[in-house]
Amino acid sequence: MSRRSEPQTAPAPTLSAGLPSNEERARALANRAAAGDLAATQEFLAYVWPTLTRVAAGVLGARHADLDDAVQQSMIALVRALPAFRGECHPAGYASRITLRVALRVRRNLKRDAGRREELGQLGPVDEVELDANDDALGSRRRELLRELLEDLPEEQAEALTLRVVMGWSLDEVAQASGAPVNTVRSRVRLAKEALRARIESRPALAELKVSP
Amino acid sequence: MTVVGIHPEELFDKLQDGELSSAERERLRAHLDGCAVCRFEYAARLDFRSEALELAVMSPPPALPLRPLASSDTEAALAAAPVAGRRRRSRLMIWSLAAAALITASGAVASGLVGATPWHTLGQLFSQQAKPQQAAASAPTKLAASRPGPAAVPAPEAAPGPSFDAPPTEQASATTGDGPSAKAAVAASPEHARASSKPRAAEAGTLAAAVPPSSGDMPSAKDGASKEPLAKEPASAAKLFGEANEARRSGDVGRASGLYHLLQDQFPGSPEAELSRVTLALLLLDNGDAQAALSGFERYLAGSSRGLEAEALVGRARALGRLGRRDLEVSAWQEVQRKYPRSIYGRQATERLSALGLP
Repeated sequence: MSRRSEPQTAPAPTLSAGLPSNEERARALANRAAAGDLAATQEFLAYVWPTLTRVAAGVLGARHADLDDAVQQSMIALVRALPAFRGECHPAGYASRITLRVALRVRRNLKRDAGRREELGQLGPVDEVELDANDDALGSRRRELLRELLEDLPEEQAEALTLRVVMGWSLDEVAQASGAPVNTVRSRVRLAKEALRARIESRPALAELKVSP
Repeated sequence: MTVVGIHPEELFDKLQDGELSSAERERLRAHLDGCAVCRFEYAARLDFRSEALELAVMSPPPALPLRPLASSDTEAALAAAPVAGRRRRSRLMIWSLAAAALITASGAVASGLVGATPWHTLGQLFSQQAKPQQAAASAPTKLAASRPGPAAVPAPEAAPGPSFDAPPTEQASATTGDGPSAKAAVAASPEHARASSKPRAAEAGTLAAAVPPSSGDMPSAKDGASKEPLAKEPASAAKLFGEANEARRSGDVGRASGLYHLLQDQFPGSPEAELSRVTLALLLLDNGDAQAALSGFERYLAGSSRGLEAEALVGRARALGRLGRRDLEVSAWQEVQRKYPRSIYGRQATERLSALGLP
């Protein structure tokens, strides 16, 4: 199991990939937080904050107007869910799974609201996501395609794909985060990629890009 | 285009870890040549990584004292927050709201309703704050602990909104794997840039240790486990950046400034160093050194990074304003307006130009 980032009490969302280390301490904090220890809760939230911020940003976009709200909702949901945490997966993985659900729900709600506004003839921007004149248009399209796919995938596949592609976690780390066997994770990733294939085949510009590892 | 059903996931992992051998790199390259899905994944990983760089300048708010919040506290804070500062306000509220939720969670624990409190809207949460006992008593009695399957995430139920169901248990549909030990990963340009700086990493670690320790206290860390001296481990651009951000968040401007400068000196080609130019410039601007801040913004804008261009343009305009260089300030705000017309920065530019008597 690779450990790529050292624990910081409250680092900025890390640029390095990988599950945060210090897992045992995080488990202990989670247990204490679940029991109502305020200091432990604060420390635990600081521990998972970078991870869940990246997950939420992965689903919504780093500049999405509702990113902060999604992070906030995720933290609240996480705190509420801590009493049910049985320590069978990495605490940051537990947080990331909750965050993924919250962020996807926010995204779906926005889309639903946009649909309603469209029906009412009130077309307009869904939010105030800025238009970056210098943004990499192709990269934005790839991210958006993946985000749309996440909405439609079965939850386990969406989770596996998010942790792999958005977070850059290894198979082992995704398994550790989700509490599933590695081969199960591998299977979920493979199925998600098949769904991805169907999406990108209809977009030759995305399918035909050249890369060099 | 060949359809490939088995993808070399382990090769991606090795690439991510920088452990790809030449032979493995060739295998990965050969696979990518024939697999549009993995090519897409490879590029998307870089895309998301690039986007995550923007998050690096988002700092978690300073630790707020956790205590039961009265709804009036929260509402007063919200009311006091400037409209234009929505994101900042929201971020500052995160800890408070999480603390508020904790109170609710504790109430649930006390009444045996473990993990079964309903999902409330924030407004409901606030009002629940005022009546924790009542809220706990009204919570559903379904016990998340009874959910089957390993590591099942409990499902706070959506009171009005969509459901929040726990993932179903999966009886591993294991596949045969990806073939021979695959490897791979994203040898993104950031890594390349970082790799080129590796020989200087140990030196940077030594130097970083010489920067005065932060006087701020991060939330918790009572045992000091996370406060080990930097010199114990080789420094990396990411680590230096994290340390500098930590110092900045804790209000230790001197240490933060020193670490950002160290990062830029030791890892000049790294994305963290590029980002730090904006972060440091903002720090300097907020601490009254507009001239140095202006230099930082302009240096970032002169580079090739564009992830924080908007922030750098706004920072430059603000710095010019502080320096009383009105003509240049107007030009800078007009550039913001032109490039980011629909963003919060565009509105900020419009407001400032209006205040300066310009359309």
